[in-house]
Amino acid sequence: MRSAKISIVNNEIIAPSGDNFTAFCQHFFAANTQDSTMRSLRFFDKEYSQCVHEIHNVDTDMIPARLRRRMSFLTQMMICCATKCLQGCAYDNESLGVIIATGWGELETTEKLLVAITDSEEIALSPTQFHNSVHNTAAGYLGIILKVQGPTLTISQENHSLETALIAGHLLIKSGQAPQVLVGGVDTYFRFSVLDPANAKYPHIFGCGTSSFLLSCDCDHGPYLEIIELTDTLEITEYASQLADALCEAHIDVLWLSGLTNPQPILQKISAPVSVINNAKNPHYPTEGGAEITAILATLQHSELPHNIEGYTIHGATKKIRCVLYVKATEDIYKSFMIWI
Amino acid sequence: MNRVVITGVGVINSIAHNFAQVLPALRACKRNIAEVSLFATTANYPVAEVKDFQAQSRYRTLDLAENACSEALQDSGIEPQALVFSTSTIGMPELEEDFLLRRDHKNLPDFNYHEALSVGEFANILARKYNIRGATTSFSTACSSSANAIGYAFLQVKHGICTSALAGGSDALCRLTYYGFQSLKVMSPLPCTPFDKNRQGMNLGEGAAFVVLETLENAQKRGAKIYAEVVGVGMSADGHHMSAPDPQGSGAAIAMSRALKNAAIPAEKISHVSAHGTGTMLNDHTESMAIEKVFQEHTRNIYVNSLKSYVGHTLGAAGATAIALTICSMKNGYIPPTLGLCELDDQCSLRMVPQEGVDVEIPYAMVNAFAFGGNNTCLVLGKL
Repeated sequence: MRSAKISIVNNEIIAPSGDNFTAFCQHFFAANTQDSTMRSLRFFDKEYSQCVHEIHNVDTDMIPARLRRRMSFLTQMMICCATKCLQGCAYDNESLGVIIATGWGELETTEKLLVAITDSEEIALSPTQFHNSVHNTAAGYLGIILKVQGPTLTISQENHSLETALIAGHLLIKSGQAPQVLVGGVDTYFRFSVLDPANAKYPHIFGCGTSSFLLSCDCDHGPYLEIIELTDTLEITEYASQLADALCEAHIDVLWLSGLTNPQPILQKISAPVSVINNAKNPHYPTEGGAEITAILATLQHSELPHNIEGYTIHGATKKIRCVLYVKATEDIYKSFMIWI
Repeated sequence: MNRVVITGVGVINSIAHNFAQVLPALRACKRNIAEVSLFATTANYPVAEVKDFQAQSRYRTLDLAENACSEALQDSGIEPQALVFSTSTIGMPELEEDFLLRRDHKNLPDFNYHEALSVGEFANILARKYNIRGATTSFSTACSSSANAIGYAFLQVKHGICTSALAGGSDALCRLTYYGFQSLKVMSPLPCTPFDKNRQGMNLGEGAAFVVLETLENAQKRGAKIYAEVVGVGMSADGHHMSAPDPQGSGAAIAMSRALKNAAIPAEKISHVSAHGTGTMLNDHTESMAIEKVFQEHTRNIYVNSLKSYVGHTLGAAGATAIALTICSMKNGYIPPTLGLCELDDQCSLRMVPQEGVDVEIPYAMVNAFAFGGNNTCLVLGKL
């Protein structure tokens, strides 16, 4: 089943490959590969030397100083990205919905509290750190800064967090709970994400970054987002069949696969997309979902694909790309969107 | 759009290990609020622990959730299509134990974070265990988490995303929340007495509550027992402060008004409000103002109580627990009192349920849940 279309009115990103959408696009189409840098990450009393993709130049001036000094880097990043996304957009703060997606939330703040508990004879935690340790910290501060009065939710669904939040944003709009919803995704480095990047559960170094998407039902121009509403947990062949049935006559220019180690069943069922992009490495950090959706929006804006994208295989090439089918997979869980102009 | 009903309920908390135990416990004004036994502490703030519960895994939050999920599913007799899970503390008890262990044994290797579970991993474990193959969604909005979970599941079923869903929340007691709320100076040294003039704060609790929601059409077709209809949900943000409510109760009032609008019923239809009612000075006062703002003259006709006086504040499970206990009230026509409420706070002009409780039909009830970040969620339940 395909959902009703809604508009992606605006989007923004802060990522290692660009601290705004324009920089991200330039990097994306220049086919630059960003070298990771060896960086020493300090977590409490230990130093960890890791190769990471760093983020520079997060402009936090729009955050009032009295609030900024209380916030973690994760929350600051999310608020900067979200407020930039809303700049120049018409929205009503009394009805604007906010959904923030995060895989691990404020785990670093939580760890600081645990250290305070274990290291103190007389336990006296910081009240600010405590209320900043919840998953909805970024959403809460964003609500305070923007004076938002609409639904303000936080979703944590592993590396499907951003995709799940987009689906939730779509439902809030469809159900009349909010006419516009700002969906954001954010995660940053944590101690456990850099300790052992070769482990089976987390095979990649986690990422650091944030992205934002303003969804609206009141906008009459694209890009548009359609959710393909299918059973999420299926064997790949069955999912491919359901996906093909749901798409019916839709004309798809690019099939954008993420996390599919064996894309053949999908390729066999989806009729003749001109280009196929596959990021077979399962992006195990939640922020990557936001980067992929942003990359799709960049592709639609330019109407073409770059010749090379780091970590992806690209088959076929076309001009005038107008519709991308995005399929995200983790083990046996799938999510699919159509994004088109 | 579908009408949405609740056909299965599962609970576990300090006064009831299953839904059948809820009514006798409420009638008996039972509350097991006592000193902490789950971990050593020199602090003197009593809590509402789940006693006689042996966790099956390392993850108490997950074990509590499984207990309530299994009951709700067995009660409803269906395999729901979707799961909406919620919790506020991830696997904190397990992390805490590890930190303590490493503090005493500095030569131990780093904590094996492969075993740490995120909110979404908890949800995926539950989805696989119960063969739920549709969308799995996990909310973590602190104390309103499970109200949001059930509200979202309601929207999913109402708007045809799925025909049935299992939704609720779970939270185990841990040091982080215990000392965290202590740092906010909102913990009561005595069993809590929400809305009382001399209230001293809240008691932490723990537990889980899950419900099965499905379309009225499905439920009637298969002859399922129907506990209640979910008729509306309203959500809002205060946009005021991370841990203090809006002093005028504006955000809470907006959520209540939106829930009524979503339910498409006039305020006068509501006869019972299950308040968030934590027992803190600020919450109870501002919630009282919000109720008055929304219901105006009708406030005097509404029976209000706080179920946290029985089970403590179960955080991520609080909203779902209040919904489950309110369903019990609606099913049995009995609204329990707020325990320990001797003298109503002058600043809370509400019609509180008398101490002997009240036997009355409840056509429509509202359940409130508020949280850090100024997150407010209200649901309207109707009796079929």
